[in-house]
Amino acid sequence: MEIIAKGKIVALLVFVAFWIAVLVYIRLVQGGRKVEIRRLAALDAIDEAIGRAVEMGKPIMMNPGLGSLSGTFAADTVAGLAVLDYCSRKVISYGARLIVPIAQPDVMPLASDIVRQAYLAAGKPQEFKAEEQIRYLSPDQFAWTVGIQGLAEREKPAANIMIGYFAAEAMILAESLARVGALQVGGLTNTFQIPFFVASCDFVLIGEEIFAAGAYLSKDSKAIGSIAGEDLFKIVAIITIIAGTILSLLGVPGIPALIQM
Amino acid sequence: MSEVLRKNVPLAITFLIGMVLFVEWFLAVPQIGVAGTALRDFGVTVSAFALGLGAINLFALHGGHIKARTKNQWIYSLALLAALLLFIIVGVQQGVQGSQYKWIYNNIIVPLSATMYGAIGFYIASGAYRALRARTKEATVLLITGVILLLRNAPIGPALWDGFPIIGSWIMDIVTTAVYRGIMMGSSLGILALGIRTLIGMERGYLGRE
Repeated sequence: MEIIAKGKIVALLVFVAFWIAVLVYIRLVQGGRKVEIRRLAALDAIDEAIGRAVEMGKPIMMNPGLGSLSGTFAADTVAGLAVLDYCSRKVISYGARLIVPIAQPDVMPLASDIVRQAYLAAGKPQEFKAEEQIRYLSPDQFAWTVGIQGLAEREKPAANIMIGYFAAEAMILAESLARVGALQVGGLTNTFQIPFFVASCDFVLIGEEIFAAGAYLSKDSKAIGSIAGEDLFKIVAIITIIAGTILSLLGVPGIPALIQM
Repeated sequence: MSEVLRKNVPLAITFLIGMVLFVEWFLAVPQIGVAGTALRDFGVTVSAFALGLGAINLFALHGGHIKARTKNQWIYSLALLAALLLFIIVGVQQGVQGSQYKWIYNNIIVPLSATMYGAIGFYIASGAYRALRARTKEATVLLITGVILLLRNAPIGPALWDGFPIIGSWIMDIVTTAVYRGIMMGSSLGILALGIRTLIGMERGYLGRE
């Protein structure tokens, strides 16, 4: 009887190697090694967007996307919620108002708790109004979209931060918020929708950048160390791809079979 | 105690559940498969409770608007709650396969969603108008690429010059596909790193405790 599921041996080895690379870099950082993360203009722009909203006396919309906490797009949602944590603390410290449109019911209690914790940390728990700030709209894709369009028209937010999973509604959201004059920071991994955010948003996080957002914003050196481990593995992946391509072109047999082990 | 409950218990639960599902994916051990299925079923149940919370949120907010007769809002709040109640009553009475329930869904939700989907084309047009302006070198490249792809897809393109479909297909098949794959691989590694950070309790932003 086989212990490792068929076709997943290489995937498991890769995962274990990746985990080791991340842990090694975290240890190196703990040991005093300096690791710097490159500047992400879109994340730096969040402060600017919040400041602009405060000056204009308008609210800030932070959208963690259409995804839920389970399934294929859970990681995108977790990344969005990490940014929500940062945004809510900044927004509250500046005395501005935050609106969070929610699509999936399982995201709502978590988003609500994140914002509530931020108000508690700022010593202003009485200012948190869950129904008005954490707006549960609908799990239906376009009902949620129309709900956000309505919020945009009524509230006219000065800043709109959209980081999470977005699908066909991406362009509708970005254009609707651009129309009300919001400074927009977008971030997503859905390759079909990235061009739409690039066209409509002022700043965009592309692909993996959204997963680094939590570590980047928290400025936690250990978390940043894990990103360095990821970068090391990226180099290994690139070398493996080039080597595999050359070996396949040279007619070395067994490369596809090896990957599918 | 409350500090332990607030910080460590959610992280411990995340680690345990994450490890069970991780092991279930990679190992062919039937007992772990049973545990994984049970955990996923539990997740569905928790989500169902969260849906109830969402409904309470809607009733609290929009009920308040109706009560206060909020200008330019209360009538929409009334429509929303009426539709919500109608769906709940018909759904509870008949189930989601009931004929009236299906009629409401197919004749209200489906056409409204299709209308919104159809409207995307207009938003793309307005977005393209703003994006496709040659203000910088990068924007100029975007403009030229956009025009070539437009002429590849529009019937007038091949009629003007039969090279448009060839260049357009090369852009889509080689350049775009290569970039897409690069982004997808980067995203996959990013998800792995985020997953590891979440499992070992280093990524706490989603718990609101950074």
